Amino acid sequence: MSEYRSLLERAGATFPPLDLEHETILRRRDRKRRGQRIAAGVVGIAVFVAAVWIVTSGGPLDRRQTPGTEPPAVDQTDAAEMVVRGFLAAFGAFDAEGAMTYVADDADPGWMIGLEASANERGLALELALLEAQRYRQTVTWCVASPLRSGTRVTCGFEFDAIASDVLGKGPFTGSTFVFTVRDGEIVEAVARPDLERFSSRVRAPFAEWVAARHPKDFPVMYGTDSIPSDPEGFRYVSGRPTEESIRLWSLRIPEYVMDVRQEAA
Amino acid sequence: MSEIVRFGAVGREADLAVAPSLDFEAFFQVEKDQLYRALCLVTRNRYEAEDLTQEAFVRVLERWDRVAELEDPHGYLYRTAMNGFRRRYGRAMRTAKRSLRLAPADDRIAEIDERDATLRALAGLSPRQRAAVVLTDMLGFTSEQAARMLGIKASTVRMHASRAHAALKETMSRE
Repeated sequence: MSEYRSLLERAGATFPPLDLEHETILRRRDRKRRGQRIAAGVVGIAVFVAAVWIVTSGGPLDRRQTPGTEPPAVDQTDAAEMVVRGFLAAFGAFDAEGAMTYVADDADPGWMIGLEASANERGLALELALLEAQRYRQTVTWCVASPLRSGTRVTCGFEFDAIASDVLGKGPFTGSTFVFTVRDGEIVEAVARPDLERFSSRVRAPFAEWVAARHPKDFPVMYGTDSIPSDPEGFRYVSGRPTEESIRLWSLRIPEYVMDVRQEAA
Repeated sequence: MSEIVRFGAVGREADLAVAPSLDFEAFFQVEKDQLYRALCLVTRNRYEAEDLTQEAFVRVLERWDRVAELEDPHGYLYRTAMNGFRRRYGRAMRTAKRSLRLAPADDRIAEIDERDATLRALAGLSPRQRAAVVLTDMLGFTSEQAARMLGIKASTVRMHASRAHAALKETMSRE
C-alpha cells in the first residue's frame, strides 16, 4: 500500500459524504433523454419543413434543375439555429433547467459567458440567479448558422442591459456575440464574446464604486475580491460572484443605487 | 456503509463479490462516495466533483448492460469520470483568459484546506498532478491505467505523481 494512500484518504475524508441519491442519477438520465428527444424533434420538424418545401416548390425533385445547385433536403443549419435560439430563450429567462436541455451532456457549460461556477444545472442556476439579480436583460438580434465538418456553428449577436442600465437610460450595449457549436441537435461548445468596453465604463465601474463607497462591507461578498480596488480603473474589471449571499445583496443594492442616481440627477 | 467499503479496495471487491448479478444501484451506493472524494481532491471544487460524479454514473447507467458484464466496472467508472475531467480541464485551459467573469469556484475550499495539510499541499499542484497521485496512490491504479484515463503517457503520470509525492513528503515531515 502506498505510503501516501492514508494521507490522501484522510484528505478525501475531510469532504462530507456526497448527498446524492440513486434517483437523482435516474432523473438526470431521463432529462438527458428528454433533451435528446427534443433535439430529435427539432430535426424532425426540420425534415418536415424541408419535405413540405420540396413538395410545394418542386425543389430537389424537380428534374429540370441541376442537382448540384440545390439546397440540401434537411437544413441542419436551421435545426441548429433553433436549438441555439431555444437555449438562449431559456438562458435569457434565467431558466437553468430549460437551458440545460439544449446542452450535450459532455459539453461544459462552465464556458458559458465566462461562467466559472460549476458546469452543472445547479451552477448554471446560481449564475442565472445572479444575472437576474443584476437585472440582466438580453436581446438576441441576429443569428447566422454555417455548417462545419462535424456539426454546425451558430453565431448570434445580442445586446444587453444590466445593473439597471435600461432604467437609467445607459443601455442597451450592442456588439456582443455568442458562438455555439451544435452537434447532433445539442450544444457541445459555446463561447461568448461580449463587448464590455462601454458597459464597463458607463455602468459596471460607477456601480462598483458606489458599492465600495456606500457599502464597503458588501463589496467583497458581491464581487468575491479580498479588497476594494485602489485604482479607479480597477472598478472596470470587477465581476459579480454567484453565491446566495452575493445574489441577495445584488438584489438589494441595485434599486438603492437607482434611487441615489436619480436623486443626484434631480 | 463502513469507511472500509467506501475507501478500501478489499472492502469494495468483497462487497461486489457477494452480488452475483451486479445491480446498478448497489454499484452506485458502493462507489459514489469514493469517486466523489477522489474528484474533490482532483478538482478542488465540490460542485464540479459532484457534477462529474453524476455525469459519470449517468454514462455508466446508460451502458449498464455491458458495463455490468465487464471484469472491472470500477475501472470503467473511473475512466468515464476522468474523461469528463479531461474534457473540462482542457476547455478550462483554453478559455482561461476570457474577460467577462461572473463567478468564482468553490467558496469553502479554503476553509476545508485549513483543516488538512495534505489538501494544502495538493493545492499547489496542477489538476493533472493531483489526478495522477489520486489515481495511482489513493485508488491503486497502475500508472499505465492512469495514463489511459488521463490521455497522457505512463511516464508523464509517474512524473506528475513524483512531484505530488515531493509535496506530500514535505507535509509528512512537518506532521
